[in-house]
Order: sequence, then structure tokens, then C-alpha cells
Amino acid sequence: MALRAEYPPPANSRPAGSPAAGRGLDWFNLFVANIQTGFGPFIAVYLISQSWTQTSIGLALSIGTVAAMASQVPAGALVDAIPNKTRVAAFSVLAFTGCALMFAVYPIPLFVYLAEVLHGISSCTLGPATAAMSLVIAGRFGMGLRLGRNARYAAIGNGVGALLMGACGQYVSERAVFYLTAAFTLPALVALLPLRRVAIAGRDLQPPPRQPGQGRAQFFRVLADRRLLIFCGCAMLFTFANAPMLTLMSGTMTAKVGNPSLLVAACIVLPQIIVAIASPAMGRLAERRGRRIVLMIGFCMLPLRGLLFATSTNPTLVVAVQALDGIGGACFGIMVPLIVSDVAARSGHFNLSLGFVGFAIGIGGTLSTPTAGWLADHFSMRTAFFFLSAVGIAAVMLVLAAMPETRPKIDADGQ
Amino acid sequence: MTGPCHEGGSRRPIAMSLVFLCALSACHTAPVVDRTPPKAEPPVSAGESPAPPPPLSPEEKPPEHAVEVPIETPAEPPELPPEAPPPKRRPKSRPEPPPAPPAAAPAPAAPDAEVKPLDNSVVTVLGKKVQGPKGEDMGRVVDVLADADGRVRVAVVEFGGFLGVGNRRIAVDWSLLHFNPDDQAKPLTLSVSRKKLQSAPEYKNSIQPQALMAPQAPVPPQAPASPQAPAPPQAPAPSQAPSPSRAPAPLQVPASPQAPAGASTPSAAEGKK
Repeated sequence: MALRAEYPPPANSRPAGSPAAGRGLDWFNLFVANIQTGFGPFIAVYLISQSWTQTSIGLALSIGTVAAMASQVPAGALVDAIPNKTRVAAFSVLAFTGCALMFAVYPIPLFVYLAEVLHGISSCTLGPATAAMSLVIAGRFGMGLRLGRNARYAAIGNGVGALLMGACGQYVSERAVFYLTAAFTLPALVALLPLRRVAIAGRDLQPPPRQPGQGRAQFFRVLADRRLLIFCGCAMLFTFANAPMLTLMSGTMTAKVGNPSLLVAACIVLPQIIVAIASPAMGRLAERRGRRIVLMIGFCMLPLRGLLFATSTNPTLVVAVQALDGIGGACFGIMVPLIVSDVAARSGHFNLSLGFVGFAIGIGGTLSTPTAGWLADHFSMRTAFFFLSAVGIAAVMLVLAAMPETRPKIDADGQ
Repeated sequence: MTGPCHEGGSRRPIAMSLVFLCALSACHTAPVVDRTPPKAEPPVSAGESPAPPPPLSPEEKPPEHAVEVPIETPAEPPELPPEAPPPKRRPKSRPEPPPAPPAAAPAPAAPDAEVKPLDNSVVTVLGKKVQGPKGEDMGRVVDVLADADGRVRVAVVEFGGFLGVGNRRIAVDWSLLHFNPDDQAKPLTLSVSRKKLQSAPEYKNSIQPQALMAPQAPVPPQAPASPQAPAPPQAPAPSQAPSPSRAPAPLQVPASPQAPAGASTPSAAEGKK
């Protein structure tokens, strides 16, 4: 791969991946992003078309949110305990197949609730498993580049998936979207095939087996790591400010333009294109210049975007401003697993720590949408955007003031 | 946080029980939020049901109907709506009593449909696609709201957006909806231009319970020409009056229209009773 030639990782990081495994991981990221597109807010649209009431839809979605939140940390610990991460990933994808089919074939409440819970849990196992496979393939010192690649392919999958599924929902039927989602799980599984041996090959990257007594102390040491806690705060603030922006803005846009669906589609797909373009560069930057600078770039996009949204509702400008979301998304998407791998890669609690950060992100996302909606209703859209910008600025300040550089020093770490 | 530090085996049950606990607690909280609108409905059926059916059927109909009637008559008015939905697939759907409306207000069908078998020219409203005058896509009906007199006042239509992002909900006057139960292709049509629908102030009900009542007011788009207004004779009038004042509203942020809407509109006052 061009990647590796350009940036040979130090010998002591012991990357275990063959080029085939790397390509498999690329495709896997792409198809998983495809799959996840179907499980987004579209579920509400589908359930409406099935004559579901607003109350039941709200209940179904809350069950999904709660399941995802509650299983973040336990799922991380579970992935830590299972040596073969590829198998975890495969089972998570199979669970997605089940969810999609339950939605498509028989959307009665029991199955919908069950599918929501299952999807929440398997999302929580899939994320850490993917990150762990990346760590094994790329080694600790190639992680930034690998994650840049992951983010690129995931963005392509998101963008293509959104277009395909949007068209499918529009021109075929809402139900067909879930059949399509289920179909996408097949190529995702196939993409895992070259990764079968990776977990075994990378075993020496894992820490030596822990003694029972040592495990608990180390567990707390990892979670109480100052860098991890600060980063959790940053991630929570970032998500809080980021999550409701598009929703708020697209609701306003829908009232104003001739073809709102097309505009919202542009607002969703454009950032993905930017992520696909920018991610590898961000990953390289993180390896060369450190994590803080990338984090700062990404976080600065937030208040900028909020302020621009607050001042203008011109549709063209709104789409253009969404490009900032792409940059922010690229930085954030890479930094989460990267910083966690810096902090916890060799502790044996990598996935648990990732789950911990995921939990913080979940809190931020869950709290922010109602808060922003409330502000928009009771004051004004502009107030809501100013508020989100202020939260974004707080996130930037936190990074600036407290977040230490976590890039590992090669000599310090080498054994 | 202390849970997961045991060995792997004991971790899972804890995780699972956590999930289900939280899911259970969600069950308690979620429905409470939306319960307000249905409250308006018990009176609805209360007002109508006692009058026609019970006296008629025992006399006219063979024993089968005599069997059916006792089920309905002894029931107290408030309990009727919960009984109405069961024919639907999902029992727990509270707000669904609105499906009663088809029988109630505009129905081209017989008014005493509760006892006789319905002739088949009825259409499910919830979740149905709505089409504009020129056959354009106007979204789907997601809710139906009735006032204290049992009249269905508005249907809430959701449209626009992409993959569920950026959808917009507008409450439209019931009399603007036209029903063609025999036309599979376009069972519901809305006699409002797409532009009008788009620029109408948004209907909000999910943020907090206090906001629930106010949005009942928006009867935003005005009736072009004369809606055939089958049932509520007064409906067109109030809807036409507020619409001019409402028109500029969408240019502002959606929050502000709410206040004036609740305060000034005559139909709002009626709805709140």
C-alpha cells in the first residue's frame, strides 16, 4: 500500500496486517457505514408509514438510545475480554442483518423494540472491534494513518448509502430501505474474510495476561487517567454542540426552498465528501505534528459553523457551511480512537476506554437535541445557534487549556 | 462503573439487566409526554356514542348485534376510545382513537357505523400518504386532533426532509383533506399548494407537555375556494380568518408564531376548551 511505503512504521510497533487485510478493513468500514445509514432517523419515517403513532415511535427510539448508551461501557469491556475481534465484528454485523430484517419483514412493536435494543448493543461492540482490528493491523505508530483511511472509507459508505437509501425510500418504498440494509451486511461479512487471521497474528500486541488482582487496579487506573477524562469532556461538548446543528438548520430550510429533500441530501452528503478527502491528511498530520493541533482544527469548525448558521439562512451558504462539518467530522472521527489508543492501547483496556468515551459522546448527543429544540422554540433559532456556538467555544477552550498531547514518543515506548 | 470490573462471565448479565432496566424506565417516561392530546378525545366519543347506536340496534337487528351492543353501552364514555382501537393491529397505541374520526365527522359513510358493518368506503388516515392538487407528494398524516365537541379539527402532516432529517410537521385543517377511499393511488388529497404547506409554521408537540395545546391552533393554510367541508360547518370560517395574519409568520423563526397563535386565534380558544 502506498500508505506504508510513504510512512514506514517503526519496527517495534509490529503491525500485523497484510495489504489484503488492510483492504478488507477499508471495505468493511465502507459497508458498515452503508448499513448504519439505514438505522438513523429514517426509522421514524418508516414507522410512520406503518401507521405507528407518535407515542410508539418515540418509545421505540428512546429504547434504542437507552440501549446504546447503557451498553457502551459494558460492550467495551466485553470486546476487551474476547481475543478474536474479527469474530466480534462478524457477530455484530450479523446482528445488524437480524435488525434490518425484523424491521422490514414484521414491524410489530415487539420486534421493533427488540431490533432497537439489538442494534444499540451491537453498534457498541462493533465500534471498538473495528478500532481494535485497526490497531492490530497498523500497529500503534501507524494508527493515525490507518484511522484516516477508516474515516475515508466510512465517509464514502455514508455518502453513498445516504444517496442509495434516500432514492430507495423515495422511489421504491420505505420498507425496501431495510431490505437494502440487510443486503449490505453480506458484503460487509465478506470484507472481513481477509481479517480472519489478524486477531491471532496480533496477539503479541496485547499485554501479557493479567493477574486477577492486578486487573481491577489497572481498570481504575485506565479510567481515571486524566487525559482520558479530559478527552471525554471534550468529546461530550463537541457532540453536544455538533449533533443538533444540521437538524435545526434543515428544519428551517425545508420551509424555504423548492425542493427541500434535495437540499437536505446535499447537506448530508457534502460533509461526507469532505471527510473522504480530508481524513487521510488529518491522520498524517496527527502522526507528524501531534493530536492537539488536529483536535483544535476540528473543534474550531464548530463555533464557526454555529455563528454562520445564526447569521444566515441562505440555502447556498448553508450547504457551503456544511463543508466545515466535514472537516470537523474528519478530525473528530479520527481523534476519538486515536487518542484512546494513545492512552490505553497497551493497558488491555482499549475497548473499555473507547466505550467510556462513547458513553460521554452519547450523553452529549442525547442531551443536546432536546436542549437546542427547546431554545429554538422558546427563544429563537438564532439563540439556539448562538448557544451551540458557545458550547463549541467551551470545547475549544477545554482542548486548549487542559488537553495534553498524547502522541506516543517512539523511544520512550520502545521495549 | 464498578460492575464491569469482575470477570467476563459476570459482566454480561449486569450489562443486560442495565439495558433492560433503562429500557423499562423509558417505558414509563415516554408515553407520559404525549398523553395530552388524546385527553381531548374521551369527550369526543362520549358526545356521540351514547346517542345513536344503542337504542336503534336492539330493535332492528338480529341477535348478533344485540350481542355487540351490550359491550358498548355499559362502558363508560371515557373507556370507549381504548375499545375502539383493538380492531387495529396494535393495542397500545393511545393516540389512535383518531381513527374513530373517519366514522365521526366527514365520513361519506353512514353515521351509525358503530353498529352496522361498515360499507367499505373508509380509509385509514394515520400513516397515509397525502397528495397535493397536482398529485405532488405532501408527506404523510402522523396525527389527528379533535376538539371538545368531538370534531376532528386538524390533521398533522409530516413532509420534506431526507432520510428522516429535516422533516417538517404542519397541522392542517381537517376540511382541507379530501378522502377517496376507492382510489388506491391517491386516497388522501390536500387542497393546498405545496408552497403554502411548506411555509406554514411548524406544529410542535414533542418538546414539552405545556407546548402541546398551543400548536393545536395552527390551522395554517387558508382554504382556497370552498372546501366541500362535509362535517364541521364552522371550520372553514375560522381557518380563513387567521390565515392572512399567519402568512408572514413562517418568515420568522418557528418559535415566535406559537405565542400569537395560541393567544389570538379563535380556533385556538375553541380547541383548548
